[in-house]
Amino acid sequence: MNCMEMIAIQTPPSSRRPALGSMDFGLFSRYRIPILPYALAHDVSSASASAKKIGYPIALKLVSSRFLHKSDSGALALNVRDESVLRQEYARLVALARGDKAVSILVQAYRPGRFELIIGGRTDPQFGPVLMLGLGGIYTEVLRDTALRVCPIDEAEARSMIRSLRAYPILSGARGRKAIDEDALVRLLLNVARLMENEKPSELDINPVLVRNDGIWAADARVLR
Amino acid sequence: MMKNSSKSPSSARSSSSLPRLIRNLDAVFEPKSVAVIGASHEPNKIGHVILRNFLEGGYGGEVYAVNPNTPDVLGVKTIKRASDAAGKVDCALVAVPAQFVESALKDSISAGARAAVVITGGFGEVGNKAGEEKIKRLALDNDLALIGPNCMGVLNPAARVDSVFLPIYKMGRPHAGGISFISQSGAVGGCIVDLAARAGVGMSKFVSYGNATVINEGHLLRYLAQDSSTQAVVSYMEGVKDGPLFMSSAKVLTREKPLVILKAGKSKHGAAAAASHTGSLAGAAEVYSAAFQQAGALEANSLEELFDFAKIFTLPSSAGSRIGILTNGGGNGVLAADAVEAEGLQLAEFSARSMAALRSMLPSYATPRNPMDLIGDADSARYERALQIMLDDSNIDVLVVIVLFQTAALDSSVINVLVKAAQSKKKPIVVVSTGGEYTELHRRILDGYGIPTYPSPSSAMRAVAKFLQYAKYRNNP
Repeated sequence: MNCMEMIAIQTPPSSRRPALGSMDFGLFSRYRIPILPYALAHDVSSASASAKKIGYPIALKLVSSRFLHKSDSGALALNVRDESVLRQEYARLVALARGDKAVSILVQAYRPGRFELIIGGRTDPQFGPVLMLGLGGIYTEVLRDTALRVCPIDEAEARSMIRSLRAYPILSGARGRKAIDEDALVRLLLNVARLMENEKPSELDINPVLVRNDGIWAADARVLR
Repeated sequence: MMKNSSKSPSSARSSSSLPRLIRNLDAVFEPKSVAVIGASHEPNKIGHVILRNFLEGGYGGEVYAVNPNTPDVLGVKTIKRASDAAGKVDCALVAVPAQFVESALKDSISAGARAAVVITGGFGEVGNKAGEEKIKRLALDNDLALIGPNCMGVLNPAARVDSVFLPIYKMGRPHAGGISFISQSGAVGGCIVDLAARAGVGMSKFVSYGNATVINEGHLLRYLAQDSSTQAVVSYMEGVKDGPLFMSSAKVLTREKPLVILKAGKSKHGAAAAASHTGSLAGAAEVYSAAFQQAGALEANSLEELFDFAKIFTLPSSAGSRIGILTNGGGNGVLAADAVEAEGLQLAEFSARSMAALRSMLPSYATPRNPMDLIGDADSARYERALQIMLDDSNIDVLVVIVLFQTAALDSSVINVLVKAAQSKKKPIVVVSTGGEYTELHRRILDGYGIPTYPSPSSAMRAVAKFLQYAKYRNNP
């Protein structure tokens, strides 16, 4: 397996892979997987301009193959509320990446979700592409509340994935919470399944997937070819 | 034990839509003639054991013994090669060293063979990929349904087909029945078959498919889906050979009959062992479980469970999950009630009519409620009356009958009571009996009658839960 990370929204322009800026954000938009608005910045003033355009609060993420697990290594800043915090965090991230040839930093909308999910996939040597849905965010590893299916899957199967989660009663509106838009999540799952089947990446992580009132959004994603 | 001495093949023949390779599997399970290639005088040789199985086991077809170095084996005049056979060779049973297998197969094909069971090892599992590739191409070019290589053989008790190379005095053979068993491992297969024979559980087909070079689990499942004498399929596997074929075949099968799978090599340590064992790489455990579930297959977690689940599927299907428990031991009844809840099943509530009927037949010191404790002084007559009432109660879907054979009041006639109740086919009945040799003897008799028995309430209820899970899947896939 080629362990070089190809982060669709994080691949630096200098990489051998095609640069993925907002214009050519190919893979995910081709499969209609919505990602929270973002821009790549190479200096603090362009970061600040992008942040204004996207609208605060924003998140800053260091684009570097050295920092695969960004939240563990401190290679990101979340909920940045204004320009002064942005300048401060930008400087911290640049310092963290000292030694990297081409440093770029992703500026992305920071929007809370009512729920955080994870959608993942991998290409199994025996069964081919498989799709996973799970409870996302920091609980993914702890609770291991996941549903797994071998592709291809149909709409009914995608729906059964959602309903087989232990957390489904919560997702579907237990205790007066607003239920998720199940149809939208079904469509998203089918889109990711299509990506898995066509592109057959060895691994894919869309985490977290934010369930919001204005739709279901991916906040971060990575693909291992 | 029931014995099916009928020679007429029981498989459905309405299978013309199947690929020829899969259709030719009927020459594996119901060959009109066989050639034992490598037939030997030596009792410890595989070619000896297999020839003997066919000669002494009541097989009705023609048997050819192939050995170029001796004029006769076990009283059968030998031929030098399969192609010297006077008639057609339907299935070749190959037990010669690896370097002779290819030419043995060529001879067999020219003698008309549609199938072969290659016992011989020494192929992919020891790094001889080229040798394996050669016989694969030869078989596929000729639609030869080749089982193995590196396998333990095939059983079809109804047709008296027995190419299993473990001598019958060492490994028992089950009588004809409804369970078919496909095993990637010959060793595990042999253990299960031996256990089935001992427990009196009937078997339809058994196949150890070894390296799965040509015929793999997907072909076998597809064949067994249309095999009318197979009621349920049990599988031991270390890894699937062809994921997509497995998925499609398993889905076809589970629409018709249950499939129970024990997947070995799920731990990291186990996975490494599996890879070196049959040359097949095992995939990640979670993907296997997901695939099984998606295909409607039921997963067993141990050999005991595989066996426990298998035998319950010869019962008539039930749609409901309300369990009625009958017992002559209070504590065992409580354990059973706990197991009902643990498995997500329901304890049935007896109808008012049943309550009244039970009250009138029970001694004053027994209380009609579920679990129905008949008390330690219950004899078989008390079991019979209570069973009758519970069988007629429409609030009960499945009956779990606990029988403690250790009590002074109960004698072996309770067996007849249970068999009569089971044969009424009003409800599925399973029996739980925990105990030593005397108990085991009675359990074996019940299993022989097709009443699944279990050594504990929890193992019984786990099997009942799988039974109901499948019924639900089948009604609403």
